[in-house]
Amino acid sequence: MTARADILARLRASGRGDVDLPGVDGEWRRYDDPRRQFADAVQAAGGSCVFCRREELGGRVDDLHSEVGARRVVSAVPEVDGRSVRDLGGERECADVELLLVPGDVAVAENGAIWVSDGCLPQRAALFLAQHLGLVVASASLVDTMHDAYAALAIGDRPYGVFVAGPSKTADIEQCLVIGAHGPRSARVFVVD
Amino acid sequence: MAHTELAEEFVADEDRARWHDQALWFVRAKRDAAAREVPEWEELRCRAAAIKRHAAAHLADYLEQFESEASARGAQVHWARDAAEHNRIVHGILAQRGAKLVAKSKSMLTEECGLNPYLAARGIRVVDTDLGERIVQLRAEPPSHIVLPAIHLRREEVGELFHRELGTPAGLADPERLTAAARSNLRSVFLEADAGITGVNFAVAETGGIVVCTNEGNADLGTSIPKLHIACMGIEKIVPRAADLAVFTRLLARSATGQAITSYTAHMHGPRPGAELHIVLVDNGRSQLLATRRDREVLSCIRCGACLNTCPVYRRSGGYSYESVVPGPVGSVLGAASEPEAKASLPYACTMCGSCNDVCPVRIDLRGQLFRLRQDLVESGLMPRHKRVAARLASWLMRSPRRFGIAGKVARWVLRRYPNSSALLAADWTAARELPRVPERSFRELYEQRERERRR
Repeated sequence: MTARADILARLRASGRGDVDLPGVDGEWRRYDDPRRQFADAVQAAGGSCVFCRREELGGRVDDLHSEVGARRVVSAVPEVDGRSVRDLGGERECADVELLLVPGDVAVAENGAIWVSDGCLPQRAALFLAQHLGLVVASASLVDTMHDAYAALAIGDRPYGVFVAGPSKTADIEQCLVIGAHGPRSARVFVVD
Repeated sequence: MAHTELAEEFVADEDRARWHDQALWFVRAKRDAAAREVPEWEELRCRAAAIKRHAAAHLADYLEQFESEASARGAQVHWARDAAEHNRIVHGILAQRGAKLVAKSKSMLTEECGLNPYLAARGIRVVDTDLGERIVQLRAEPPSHIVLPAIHLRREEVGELFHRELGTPAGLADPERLTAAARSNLRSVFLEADAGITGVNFAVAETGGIVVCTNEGNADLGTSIPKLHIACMGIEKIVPRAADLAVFTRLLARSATGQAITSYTAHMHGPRPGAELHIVLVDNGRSQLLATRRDREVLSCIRCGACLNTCPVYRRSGGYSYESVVPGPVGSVLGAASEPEAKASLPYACTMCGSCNDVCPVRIDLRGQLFRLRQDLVESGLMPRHKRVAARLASWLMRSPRRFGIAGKVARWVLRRYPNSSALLAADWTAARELPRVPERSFRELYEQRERERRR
């Protein structure tokens, strides 16, 4: 008997039981001011949040550019100039990326997370190798909770999708929070109207 | 060895034991604050419990659905009956592709299976990339906590270790600089690794995807550069629908560290273009736990660590006193349910305070399970002799009010005259504290006196 058949047979032998699968709808939290909640949550996650109009985006990205002192911007956002991620080449070349700009599909007010998928990012390694990260998301994609986020997404459509909340971090040494573990050392979210 | 014996060394260093206790209580307090931010917290816990219990009851169906969806997306699914089979499969995949260096992210399952030593013995270098796990790996120790692997160590100890192993300046103990040193050291591992191994937080039957949550980004880095990703998961990690992830991602990080969500919640459906994704489904005793309706519940565990952080015994005895991959309340249940003889002392590493029940995001009745496991131990004769005799004596005394009254009188008389005599019978209890002063009269005597006065 194969391991597969063996395990399945053992599981079936214990019977199904009668626990119903609960529904997915619920009276989940609604925020009076989701933008403010989102900005607070991004900050709590160690990142920063900027609201701007579409035409201001370039200027705001320039600000970030000089703040983090990056020599070059790599961009996966069409409106933002910079070297395109499509020209990055192999994964290992992403190790030199200083500031990466990526578009997000959904922003979640309750926890400051943003959904980024590999649809816009052929080298997903760049998202983690970049020293600094900028995430660009339309204000219309802001939802209240994770329930709304999953309802808006089809997670199985792409090989890779990730909720990003702030920069990478760790508290593994004496519970001291350190920003910049293996991934980006900073993260700024641009919510664009 | 029994939990009490293993804990002796830890509790002997009072300062460290107090520091450990407070470090974990700090995490527990953060969890409380995060849970209070969510008005529907209790509803989420109920949903999570029901989803997990339903999935466990229909696990064979969901595993088949998961396998077929994952395969359709290009992942290769493997099945392992036990730890040995799991290790053979993982080694086989690595060996076939000539992999020599593996970047591994946190996985309690591979700890359970002893994968690292198995691969090391076969010439494959496995580097744990989670900072806490890297620290304990360099010290050749197992993790002492499932979420905070190096919670038992102080920054100076990490500093000394990094000085020795990574060449940081002697005396450097600043967490920020130590983390930076580990970051630059591990970058080269990520860039050069032949394969990435990760655990799995959730696997979705509906879509055939796996979800991995980290704060450091190490699981994502370790799987986005090498051409090979092996994900190892216990069969209980299955949730039926993508929408169920909302419930669990809202609960997991808040329960674990008090964050609203981990920095990265990665969803992987099939391999990246040009790479391979292998998913190893591991039973290793889980189907047996499922077969007993009573033990089934513990398989709902999502490994958040909240029950460890809140447990007064864990906080004061440390992870190593459990001699178990998963320590703390849930580890005691898992251990004693799967190996009753070897882990006979674990159901007693509990004060029955029930705090673990209150914080568990999937509402496992840990206290009740531990209580029932104690009953099992008594029935199967695994309770230590002195406890058996004491319990029998207590039962004989308490069955008769007269005997109980006499025993109380004798005890009060003896303890008044010889206050230190309790040490003869209960040395462990009075080693670090005094018994309270013995009252003149028992509650019953006081009550009778009050009743007499009232009648007058």
